[in-house]
Amino acid sequence: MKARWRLDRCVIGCAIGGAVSGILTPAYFLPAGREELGSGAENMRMALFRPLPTELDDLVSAIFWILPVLILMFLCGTVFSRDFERCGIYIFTRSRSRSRWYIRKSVKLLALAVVYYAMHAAACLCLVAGKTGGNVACAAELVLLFIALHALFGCIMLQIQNLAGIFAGSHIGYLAAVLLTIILAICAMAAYNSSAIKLAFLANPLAHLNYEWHTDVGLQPVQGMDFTLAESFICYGTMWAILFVVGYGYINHADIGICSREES
Amino acid sequence: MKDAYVVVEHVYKKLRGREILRDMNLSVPSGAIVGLVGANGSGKSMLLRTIAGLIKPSKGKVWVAGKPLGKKNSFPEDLGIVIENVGLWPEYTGMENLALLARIRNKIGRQEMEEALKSVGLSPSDSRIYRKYSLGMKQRLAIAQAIMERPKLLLLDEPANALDEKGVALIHDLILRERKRGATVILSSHNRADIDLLCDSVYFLEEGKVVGREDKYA
Repeated sequence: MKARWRLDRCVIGCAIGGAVSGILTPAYFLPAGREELGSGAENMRMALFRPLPTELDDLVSAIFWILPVLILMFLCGTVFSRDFERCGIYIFTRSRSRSRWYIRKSVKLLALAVVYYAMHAAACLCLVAGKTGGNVACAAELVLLFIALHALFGCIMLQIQNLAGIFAGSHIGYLAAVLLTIILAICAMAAYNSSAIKLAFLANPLAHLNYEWHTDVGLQPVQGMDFTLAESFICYGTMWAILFVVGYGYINHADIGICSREES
Repeated sequence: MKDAYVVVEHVYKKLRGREILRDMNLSVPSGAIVGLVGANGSGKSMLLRTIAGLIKPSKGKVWVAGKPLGKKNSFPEDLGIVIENVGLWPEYTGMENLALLARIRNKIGRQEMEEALKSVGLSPSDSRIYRKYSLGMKQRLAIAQAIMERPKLLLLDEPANALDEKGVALIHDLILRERKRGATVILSSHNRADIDLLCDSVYFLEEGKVVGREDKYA
């Protein structure tokens, strides 16, 4: 018998959320006039790869810049904690092991992030095509790079948020992780001109999303940043691996289903 | 002791600085019904959760079906559990809730779910969502989810909670039927009458420790 399963709702939520963010954010950043939009590849670059605003007083732009991640975190912030909450005990005791449960859930977060950013990119494409009257180059490599880099970053934020949700209790953890993202964005803007920005990736992980498209050389980090795409992927991969291991250790030792009122 | 289906050996558990379980020892033969009796805070629910693998003991070991619970074996295989104050998905019907859970192990179909619902006095065709259930109905559904896959081990924390007289009688029959099927049952209750009626052995708990044991047929 099939039930309306909440996993489907999560995927649907990510698809719709990705599409919404893929329209809202580029709509804010793209020039209004068609003549300013330039050639097809330029349009997609502008729509997908937007540099982080550098002025601290440009807070609205920073919020729109970070909006896609915030929407993703709003949609998928309780994937872990739902199973740690009350009815999830019945799910947990049917799982073969805690490790399997955790690995499955972590892979699910990655899959949700990919779905989200794929829809984001698709919505961007539609928006740019609409604004330019169809003048958009189908830069598949660019789109795939965007999805890969942003999905990995999105997955890191989701992993932090979901782990915080089970460490600190779902509502507090949820809130803490969303605040963390906003703080990161502000730190990124403040540290934008730091010469140590490459090594300070842990304090400024948003830096690795700061790429610009140059017609002659393709995707490059914004001026002043000294890292390559490969290094960005390594950086994000390492962060995710650290989070995964920390979570793995915690899940295998945590008491499940204990609330503050638990007595007998 | 290790031939028993469930063995709890020198288990301690500290939570928020307080010792919830102290040198807990328990042995449950296969196919038996064992009762846990004690006041609030005596450790009954904690013990059941420890056997279920939900709580990690600070010290000691738990064996189920000859296998120790640990990293490779986080939860007992073939377990059905009813935990006090644990609900199901509020936006789904009873049948949908069971279907969601049944998909995890994928061992049963619609027929078994319907049988489980009927055996606890609920209707498989009831279109009301869980949020609209009374407390008694929620308890019945919790028991249905525990028995639907015909587990070898049933852990029931206050199974007769919130049930009327008819419901209590239904659950008593159900527990005896499960034992007849070959399941091992550990249940906790405040109600001494339930325990006396159903259980082969009774463990008395006080402040996280077993302070006495009674065997029906000893």
